[in-house]
Amino acid sequence: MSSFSRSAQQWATFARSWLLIDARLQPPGKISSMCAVRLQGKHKPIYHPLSDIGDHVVVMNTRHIAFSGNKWEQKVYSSHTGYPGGFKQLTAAQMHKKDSTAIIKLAVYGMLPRNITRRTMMQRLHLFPDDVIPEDILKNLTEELPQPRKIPRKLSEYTQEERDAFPLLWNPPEDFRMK
Amino acid sequence: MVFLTLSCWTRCRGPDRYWKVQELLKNARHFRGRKNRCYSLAVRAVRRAFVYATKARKTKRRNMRTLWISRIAAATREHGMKYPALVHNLLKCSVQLNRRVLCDLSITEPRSFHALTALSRARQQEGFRAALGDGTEPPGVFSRITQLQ
Amino acid sequence: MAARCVMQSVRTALRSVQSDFNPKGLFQRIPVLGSAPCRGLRNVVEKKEGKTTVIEGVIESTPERPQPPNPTAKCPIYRWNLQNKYNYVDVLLLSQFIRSDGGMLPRRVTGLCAQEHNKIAICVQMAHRAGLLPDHRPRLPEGHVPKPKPNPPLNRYLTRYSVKSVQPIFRTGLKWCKKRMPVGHPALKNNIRYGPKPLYLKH
Repeated sequence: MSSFSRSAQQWATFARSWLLIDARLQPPGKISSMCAVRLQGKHKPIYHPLSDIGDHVVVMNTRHIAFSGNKWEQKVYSSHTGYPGGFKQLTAAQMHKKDSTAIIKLAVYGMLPRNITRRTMMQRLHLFPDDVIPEDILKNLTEELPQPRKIPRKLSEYTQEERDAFPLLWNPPEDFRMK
Repeated sequence: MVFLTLSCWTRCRGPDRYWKVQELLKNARHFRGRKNRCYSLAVRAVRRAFVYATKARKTKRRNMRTLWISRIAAATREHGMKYPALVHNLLKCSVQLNRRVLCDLSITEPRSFHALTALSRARQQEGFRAALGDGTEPPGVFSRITQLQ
Repeated sequence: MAARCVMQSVRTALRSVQSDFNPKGLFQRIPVLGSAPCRGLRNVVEKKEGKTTVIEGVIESTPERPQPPNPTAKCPIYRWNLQNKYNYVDVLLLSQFIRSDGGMLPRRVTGLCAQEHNKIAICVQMAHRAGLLPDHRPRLPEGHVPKPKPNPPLNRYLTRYSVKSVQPIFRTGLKWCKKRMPVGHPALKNNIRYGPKPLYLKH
């Protein structure tokens, strides 16, 4: 049973699909690992490193990613221009201010295999800082991937019924004046 | 005397050194540069190539196995499981399919692969079912438990 | 005469609610923002019996709520068996222990034990930094309009230290002794986790 001959008999086995990821309030590393798998085609059973079967990935809302901890201030992106004194170091917040897609782009670039197909795969990654996507990309989209992190709800997003249903854990003393 | 090729059948075969060189260059004809025609360069390259070939016979098996595993992992994630869970639970069910067969199934027979994931899913959640369920069998799965010897 | 009667009645009313003589502050109950606004509200009830007028601040009875599973414990967290079960995302729980400006209520009022008070303070801080308590902000002075900020605030979660106190890690160090970035808080590491995934506090 040869898998190569029969898999090609299926219609559109090697078709590229376009996937959408919403990066709002998501950690960039998890978004990037999802992207890297899809760009390499490692989510398909017909995967082979030499057959170029990666999908297109569209990431929107990259301006609204969320870092855990104090990484906005502590994480540092280093680069060297090649000239003397050309060593640049930017924190994640500065990097994000300069280019709001750069953090995801660098993270995906680091997660792809270091070979000649890396640049090709990066060309299939489309990053958008907001939820405004051009029409020609929008009409290609086939599937939206689920977000890796569950977004916690703000207190103002709870309805009054949910607040009333939550038990009161303690009752103030009767003469206490609540501020 | 065995005349396998035309050159062996001719009367005058020339000096032995010539044939030794040709024997070796035969293995180097597809090399790049002067390695495919100069003996002293070719002999080094051929020796290295044979070492690579010997090593590759082992690494080929290893590479094929990693390729099968990554393919099975991709197919398993489509059904919402992870590769280690699938393989572990198939082992517990005594399903004796190796990774090559599993990989072929996942590509050419997605339905039977889906059945295998359903089987291992049922085996995985058997403990939960025993603890929390009402003693019913999971729907759509016929045989689950076999005793491992 | 009538005034004296009123004073007397107020005094009796005060005795009934057992509070200090402070008629100004008594009836000025400010409804609080957040999940428990209906606590400690009082209705002003006026009764007339002949010449005597009784003005009484009656505490509104709160509607029936579920009772705690462990009512003998002193700490509210232990009373509800919630130890190691809450995190910074549980804003409905956290908002019961904070003032309307976002600070913690004192421990002698809430009755929390010291450890749980500390943990809740940590969770409240992380929730503030994650922007989960948007209405609990210190009140601005009258007529003050805050400046529009040039950049929107950066989204973050599990932030242990305040934004201005941390420095960038320019030299991460060698591979085997790297400087790590702390995430979350070690006080919450005993929280119940479902699943085999270990907790990484240093990224």
